[in-house]
Amino acid sequence: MSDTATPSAPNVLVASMAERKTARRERWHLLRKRPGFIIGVFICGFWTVCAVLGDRITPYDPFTDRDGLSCGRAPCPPSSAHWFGTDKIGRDILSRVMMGARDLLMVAPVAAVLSVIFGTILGMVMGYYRGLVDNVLSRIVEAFLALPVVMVGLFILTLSKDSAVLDAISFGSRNVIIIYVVALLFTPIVARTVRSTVLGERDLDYVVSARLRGESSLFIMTREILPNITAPIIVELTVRIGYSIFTVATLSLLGVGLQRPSPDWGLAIAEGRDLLPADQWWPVTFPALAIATLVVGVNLIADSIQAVYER
Amino acid sequence: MSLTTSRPGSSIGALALDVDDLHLAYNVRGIPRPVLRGVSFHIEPGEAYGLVGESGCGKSTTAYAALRYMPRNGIITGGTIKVDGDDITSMNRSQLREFRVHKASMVYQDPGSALNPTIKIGKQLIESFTVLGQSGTEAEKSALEALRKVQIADPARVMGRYPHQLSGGMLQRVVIAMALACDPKLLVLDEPTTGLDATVEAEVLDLVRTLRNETGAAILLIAHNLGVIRSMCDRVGVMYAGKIVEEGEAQEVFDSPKHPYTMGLLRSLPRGGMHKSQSALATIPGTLPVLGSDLPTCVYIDRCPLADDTCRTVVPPVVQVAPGHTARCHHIDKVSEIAAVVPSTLREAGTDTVLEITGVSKTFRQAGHDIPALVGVDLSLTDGETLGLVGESGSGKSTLAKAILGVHAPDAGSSLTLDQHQLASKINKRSADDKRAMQIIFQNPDSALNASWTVRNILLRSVRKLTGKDKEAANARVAALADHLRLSPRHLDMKPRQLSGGLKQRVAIARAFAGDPRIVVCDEPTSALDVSVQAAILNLLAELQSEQRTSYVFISHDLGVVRYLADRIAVMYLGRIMEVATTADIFEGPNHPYTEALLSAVPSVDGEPRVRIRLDGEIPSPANPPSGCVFHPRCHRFIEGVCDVTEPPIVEVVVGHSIRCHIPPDELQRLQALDA
Amino acid sequence: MWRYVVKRVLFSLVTLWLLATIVFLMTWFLPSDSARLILGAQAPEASVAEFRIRNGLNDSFLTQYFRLMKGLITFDFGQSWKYPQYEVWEYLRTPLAKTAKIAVLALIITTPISIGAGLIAAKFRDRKTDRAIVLFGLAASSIPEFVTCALLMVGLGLKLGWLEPVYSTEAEKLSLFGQLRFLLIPALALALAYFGYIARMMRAGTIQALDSDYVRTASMKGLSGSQVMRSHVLRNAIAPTITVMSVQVGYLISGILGVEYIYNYPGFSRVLLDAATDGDLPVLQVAVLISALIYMVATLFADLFIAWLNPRARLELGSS
Repeated sequence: MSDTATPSAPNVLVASMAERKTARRERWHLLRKRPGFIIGVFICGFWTVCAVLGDRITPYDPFTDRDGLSCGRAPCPPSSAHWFGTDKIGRDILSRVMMGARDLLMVAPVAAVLSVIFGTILGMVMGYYRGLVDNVLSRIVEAFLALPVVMVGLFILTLSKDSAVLDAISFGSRNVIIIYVVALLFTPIVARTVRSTVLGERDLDYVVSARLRGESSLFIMTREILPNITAPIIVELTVRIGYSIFTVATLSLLGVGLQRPSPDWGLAIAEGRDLLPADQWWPVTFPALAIATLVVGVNLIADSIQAVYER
Repeated sequence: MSLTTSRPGSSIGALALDVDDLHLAYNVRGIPRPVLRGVSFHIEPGEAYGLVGESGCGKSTTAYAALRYMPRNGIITGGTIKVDGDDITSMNRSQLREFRVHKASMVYQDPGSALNPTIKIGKQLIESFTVLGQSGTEAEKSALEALRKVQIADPARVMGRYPHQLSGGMLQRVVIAMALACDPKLLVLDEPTTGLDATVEAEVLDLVRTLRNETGAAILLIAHNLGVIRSMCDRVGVMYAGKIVEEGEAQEVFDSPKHPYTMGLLRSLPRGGMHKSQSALATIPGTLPVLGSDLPTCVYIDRCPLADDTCRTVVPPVVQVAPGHTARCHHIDKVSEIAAVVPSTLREAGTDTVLEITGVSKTFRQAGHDIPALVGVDLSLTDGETLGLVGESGSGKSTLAKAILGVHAPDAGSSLTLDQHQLASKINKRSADDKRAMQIIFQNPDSALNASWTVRNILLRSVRKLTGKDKEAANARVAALADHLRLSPRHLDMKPRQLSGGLKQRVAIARAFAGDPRIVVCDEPTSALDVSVQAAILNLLAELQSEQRTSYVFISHDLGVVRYLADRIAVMYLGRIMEVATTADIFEGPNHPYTEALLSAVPSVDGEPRVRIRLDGEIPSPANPPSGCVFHPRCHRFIEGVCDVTEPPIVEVVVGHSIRCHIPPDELQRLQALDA
Repeated sequence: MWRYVVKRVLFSLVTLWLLATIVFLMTWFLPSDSARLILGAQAPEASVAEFRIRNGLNDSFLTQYFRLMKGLITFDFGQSWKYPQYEVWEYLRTPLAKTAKIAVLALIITTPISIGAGLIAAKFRDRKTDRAIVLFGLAASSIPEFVTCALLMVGLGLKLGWLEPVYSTEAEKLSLFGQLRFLLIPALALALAYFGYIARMMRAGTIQALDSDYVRTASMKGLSGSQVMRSHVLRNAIAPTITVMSVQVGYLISGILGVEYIYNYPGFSRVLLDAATDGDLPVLQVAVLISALIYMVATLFADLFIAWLNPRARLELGSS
């Protein structure tokens, strides 16, 4: 009870103040007051705009323009004409960095969303039915958790180069295969989180009450329990987006993710690395900073959401 | 202040605790919200002082403030706290530490979380002595001695245990031993027995009483249970909204309260053998002012039946009623006029058998072991009847309820008949009508109501699912239900967390009654509520039953509540029914020795003198129950060679009163009369 | 406790078996043509067929499956397909040791610093020091290791010249201490990512312990702040940190792949990449299994350590 221990007493206040607003509006209000959230939204917003508008706002054509060769020998260092310099075949790095968000921001969040959807379904089934189903699935999930994501991604993506089946289900797009692979690898992780939350809910009295009025298991899972575990699922989603960007970027770096001529940052870093010993730092540095800002932005949002939802 | 004054024993004759005009606030998002608004009281050396009041009145905050412990956002905004003559509000960090080491200590509500789960009991206890400056070996000896003092039979063994390996009662003894390590001038006990069974509670209280006589420590006791306060304290303060509204000798305050709030509290308790058939419980209308809000002239004005214009304009003075007895009220002379009895108009229980259960057993399997939670339970229930189910935690009350409802399917061979037809054991095998016939009201409405649904949807879904009504008819039914349970239409569109505890429990009751059930299981429906709210809920349950002829299976650990509401009572121990009888017969006797012990354990707010029967040891594990009579290891009337060998027969004392005991009823009656 | 250890180890073995099965299924269903990849597009059909027979590629599903299982039990995985002169394990051992070098170096750097930072943050919670540590930790853990590594290569390597901007085989002629110049950049990149996880978890664990009822009891006894920290807070605060450290081992391995690749470090990632492009399945399978095994051993030790720290955890884990 609220009165029994002093440290919990302020919660009475918080709860009573919350009465005036719906929970959602309250959370939104709290989120907006967190500087980390604002900065995160700003960063992600910036990259989203770049990704959507792409070559319509870049100073040069990111793919074909060879203006950068004009400095003599590409790559040209940063200058007033090319703020970020040019790459080894003379393309403007600023333009390519701006454009580089597009594929990543298409692939990574979709993969995260898919993994959360499948993970939630799997986790709910495991947590709700428990018993044998859960025992077997839990072991499999645990086995998946032991697999390093990037390594398995590498494994699948290299070995699946000419699969007719994969081509068919991915509409011939490599990006779609990457989405499948990342979603597959993250699903068990999400499932484990959801399972443990469902375990905390399924024996609560409101579930017993639903069973007593004869609700089906499907109804109890989707209508009774699911609305009460949205907070951890949303937190999981934001966290997964961050990891998903990490995974896709690393796969691209290793040459099995996004493919040329995509201006993807991971690819650009891989290409620019060979120029480093010649003191040509810019082809690596700017895409690296781009990834860094994007993931920090995503994680600032994830962190704020977590803080507000798990209050 | 100099360090010298904070040495123990330096100020002989000083008050143990002297709180003067204490103001304390919690800082919430930068705004200080007052919680204590001028609390003043004192405790003489060796005296026991109790603080009572409902949740949110500030009693626990006061208790912690007495050791200057506050949550991170707490600030003392005015007043002084002196312990043994030293002002603790002005102490620096090291002085405060010295003070806590030597002069005051505390016993907490939840001993399970008050002890470090990763450290053995012994080490934690020894720490309390090394902090006094004792060497390791000295401290170990002192720790063993301290455990012996709190009547722990095997101190050496307990020292080697981790907290999770001990029961709540044992842990609380350990915490008490820790608190008494320094021979404190002031011992603060914050709800020390809440969450413990009545039998264990009685033992802990006995222990505190004994130790208090031995050590001479002054005691500040916080409890919501008025009976506990009365049985333990010399003087009592009644708190409301951060103020002490009445203070005086415990006996006097409880026997002739002078503040309308104290009066209201006492009248809302079912006491002195009250029964629903004679009178309804009094209730206090309204709710406690929101913590930290601005207060009117008199804190109680919104809920007071005596409030008039004077109350609205003039701050009530502290009136001296008798020497040492004060009340903060304009109308102390009118308090006794508040009507004492609210006549009851309830219909009596019928005679048609609704539910008949025979040989109901339930065995759980855990880690390869069979754990019989219920063993051959026979019970019946008539229309409009309330069957009270009592027993310590772990006695199988809730398991029985869930077995009846089909949540836990009972073992094969169990038989449940509802209105003369056999019930399927599992809920999902039961017909729609059978599901509709039996519903439940849970202890904690927070987990019983789906937090993400509105009240309307909660009720609507139950009505539609249970009665099969179409949407329009169901909506009408929800409106009628809400009206019946005094929920306003405004509440229907709220989510549970926007409602107070009492309102939430009303919603839960409305849901249980959505399909006009034949039987409702009430599993401790009021134990999470304050007494004034409890009274309203109990009245409501009684009314609904009388109107609809619903039968109740009423589980409670509060014998006062059971005695008030139940027509018959069944006493359970280790999954077995030990005694069943009408309420009158249970309280009349003769009783099963276990019932006898249970009854004697309840501290009464009326201060009836009672012989306490101590139960030795703890409730055994159901996994390997004792031989013969399962109660024999703890029984004070144990007969060697009989009770530990053969299972006792069920003996009928009078019609409808049976006892599972080897001792014949008239012999039991003789023995019990002898003891009383 | 022993009962728990045995149970926990048995569970790990089941997981390992499942893992091997998953890996096998992946190789079975993915359509790569190893023979063609290894022998090249120009190789005559006959030698391709011969390769298939020699390496059992034409065997049935079950035969191949049992071959892998047998290899797992006897720890004999046969030869690499691409370099038949090498046993798989032999082929992997040297690069694995190289990778271990930077991983261990990273852990040595990061563990004490991040635990300390977490404690400091908890102690000064909600103040500037705390905010700075939390923010830095968030950034450090969210930026992919290879990106950090790239930036360190530019900053510490190229611009400041303190460390070697890219690995070169010269390093192998030096003493271990001399090699540091070539190892620190990748190690630091890994250390930074780990710092974020550990420091933030340590902070959370410490705050949780500080807010607990048992710490309240301890300070009410009159113990001093440092006594409370030492005997009551640390023990309880470290458990979630250990868990996070072990679980993040999976990501550490993923991170190492990127870091090694960009730093041109001849470790595990290079063999792995080669094996992947060549379709050298035995090498690939064993590489994945070894990584998974490292993760499992890490979590196993973490669980055992926590069970040793907290007797209640022993109970919960033991019964599940």
